[in-house]
Amino acid sequence: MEKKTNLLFASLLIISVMAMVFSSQIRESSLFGILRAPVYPFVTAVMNISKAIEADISYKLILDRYADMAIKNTLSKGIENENRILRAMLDLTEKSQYDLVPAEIIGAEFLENSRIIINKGKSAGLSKQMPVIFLNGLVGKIVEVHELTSIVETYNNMNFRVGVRDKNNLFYSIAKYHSTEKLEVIDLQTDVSLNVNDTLFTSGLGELFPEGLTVGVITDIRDNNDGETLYIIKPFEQLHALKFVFIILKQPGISLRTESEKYSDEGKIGWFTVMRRRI
Amino acid sequence: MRIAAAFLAIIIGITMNVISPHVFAIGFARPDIVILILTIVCLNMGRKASLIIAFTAGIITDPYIGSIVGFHALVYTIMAFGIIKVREVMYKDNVLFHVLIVFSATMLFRLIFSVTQFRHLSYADSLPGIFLPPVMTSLLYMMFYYLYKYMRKAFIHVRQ
Repeated sequence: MEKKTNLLFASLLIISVMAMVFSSQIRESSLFGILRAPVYPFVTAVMNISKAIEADISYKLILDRYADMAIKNTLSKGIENENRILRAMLDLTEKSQYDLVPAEIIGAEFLENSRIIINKGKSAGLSKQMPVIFLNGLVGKIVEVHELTSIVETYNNMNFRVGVRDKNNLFYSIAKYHSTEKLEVIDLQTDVSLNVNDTLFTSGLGELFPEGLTVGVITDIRDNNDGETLYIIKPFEQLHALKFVFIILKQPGISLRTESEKYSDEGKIGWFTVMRRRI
Repeated sequence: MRIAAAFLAIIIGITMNVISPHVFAIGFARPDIVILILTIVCLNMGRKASLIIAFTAGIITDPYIGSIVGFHALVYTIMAFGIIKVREVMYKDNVLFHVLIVFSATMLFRLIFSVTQFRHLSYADSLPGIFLPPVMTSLLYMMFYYLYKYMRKAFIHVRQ
């Protein structure tokens, strides 16, 4: 029995040695494929499963990475945009003919009584009725001033009015609230007609807003039932996108501007206050 | 039936040895599952069957590991013959005896592998690379041994 085992062992040794001697020939022959065959399905299956798991993990990692990059991209775009705005603000401050005070918006209400709160007040020299603008044009006017903050009535407020004109100074009218972030002008002049995409500027009449500030562009022209033409204006400044504003402190050539500066209090008759125009 | 089960175990062992990362690997050190199974086969099966299974295991490992066809067949056959001889001379039904055989067999294989593959010496073939796989294989054998004993006991308990 042991002899047979020894014989088998010797035979297997000889076969192994022979296989080692003819290793390169076996590798090139079809026998190599036969030797690979028993384990091949198992190895292939495990490899495919691990590849699928790796692919799944890689996919998740790529998704995470993509989300991170998207967030970073958005942040950098935001920073870039803010940088562009700040540069434009600096440029405007240097080149503007007005005495501008920059302020940051610290609160806002965009409903019918649209108002924004800014971080500058009496301490910065602000007072009521001062015009508020930004890079693209008119934003509103100050209606309430506190020591460190002020409330600005925006063009989106139902009470807001501004005198407007066209670029050729032929058309003069008053723009007022129409709908959310839109103004309207009712045309009473029959000899001048405006077109869609015409830009309207502040007329300067009323001496509240300086002349020549861009207000908005005409987006729609309608005929109302009274035979008048209604121009719908889309203001250039988008209130929702604002972070900063400028307040015009002094306007060249305009000495009397605010209500308190235009009129003097002369006393009271009953409930009524008597005001005298200063000019 | 036992031979078929042994072959299946050998094929699974080779698959586990070939795939990367290894299921039971700790760092670069990985236990040799084929040697573990071969030891169990040699300790529990007949002499001729053990030798044939060892040779077959080696010859089907060669296309996947190493560059010389017949190397694993030769080493596994020698190893199987050695275990058979040890079993016949001084067999003890003791786990430490089994672990010692597993350790020696793995160590022998790692030494032969390191010497013959000297040209491709890497950290895995350095001293810790030679010693760690036998230790891990022995520990794995102990784990399987006690798991088998526990399951057998539980199975018998359930049957009763």
